Amino acid sequence: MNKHGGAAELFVYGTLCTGEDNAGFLAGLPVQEARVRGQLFRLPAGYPALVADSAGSWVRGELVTLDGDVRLGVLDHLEGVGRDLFQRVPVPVALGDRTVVAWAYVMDRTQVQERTGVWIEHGDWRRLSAGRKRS
Amino acid sequence: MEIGDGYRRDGNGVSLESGGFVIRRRTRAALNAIKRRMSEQSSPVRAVEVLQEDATHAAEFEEQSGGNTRFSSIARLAAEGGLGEAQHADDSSTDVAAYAARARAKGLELDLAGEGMNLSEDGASFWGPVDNASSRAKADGRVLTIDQWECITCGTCEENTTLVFEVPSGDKAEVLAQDGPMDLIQDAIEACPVTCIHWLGAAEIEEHHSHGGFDSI
Repeated sequence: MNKHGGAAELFVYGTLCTGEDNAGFLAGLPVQEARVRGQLFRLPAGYPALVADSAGSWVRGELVTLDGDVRLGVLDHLEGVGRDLFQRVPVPVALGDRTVVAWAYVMDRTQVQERTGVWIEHGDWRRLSAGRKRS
Repeated sequence: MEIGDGYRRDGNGVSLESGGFVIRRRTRAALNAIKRRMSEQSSPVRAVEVLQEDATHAAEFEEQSGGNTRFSSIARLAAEGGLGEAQHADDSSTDVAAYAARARAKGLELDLAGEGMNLSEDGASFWGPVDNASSRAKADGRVLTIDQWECITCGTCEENTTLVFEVPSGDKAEVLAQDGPMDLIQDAIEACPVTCIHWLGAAEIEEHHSHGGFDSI
């Protein structure tokens, strides 16, 4: 735990996932497959946004175990926290049959609509980005 | 030179210009190399150091390639030397830079003194670099304590700084050390919902007070 912390884990679903564009900001940390309830949208800027919603479908991603070496201040800057981009909020994350609470960078529905986000029905950004990289 | 369909070839490689949007393939490759090198590091802090080493290029590449604006903003910050501060803003280090970063992160303009014993203008001594109730109490030789009868195991103190406070799972919070970030200790004292963290005189310490790091009773 740390000053801005509480949760010692972070759920990532887009460019912070292993092998994705911004994975470096979480270099060397342990990750496990995980999912959360909500809707995933593809934004024209080239990255996805999660709207957390307990009634939503599954959004796939990774649960990253943070340690003393992670600087959430750096991630907050990357995700535009306080600049009307993402907000860092605690969300319930499913790990197999277990649920834990972890941080996630999310948007609200209005923000996604304003940015003309397109719903990714299968809820997996990595599937989309793998397809894009092959082509 | 124009090579058809909006593509141009020049000293920077092949670029595509359409609607003011320029993609330079070579710079994109260089940017990806930085990102790849970041992801190969052993820790996020190392990765950010890699970004800082090449930040000017990264910011330039990112802007030219018109890509992920989030990355270009962080690369620009790194190029301006601001990322070191962000790296510090949420830790509990006791060096003056960390105190300064935390103060700025809270929007405070603090006059920081030197480390160790200082004398304030009103004649009170305080344990620098910050002058607050905790640093004055420490300078007075008081002992940081947690009243184990009052503590409700909420974890607020530990959230402020794990260097000084610990809540063993399911147990009452404990004081680990008498030395630590005086700003965060003061935050913890003020945030404690049952006000059970106190600086006590050595004679006031009782058995139900946790007072880690202080031995001579």
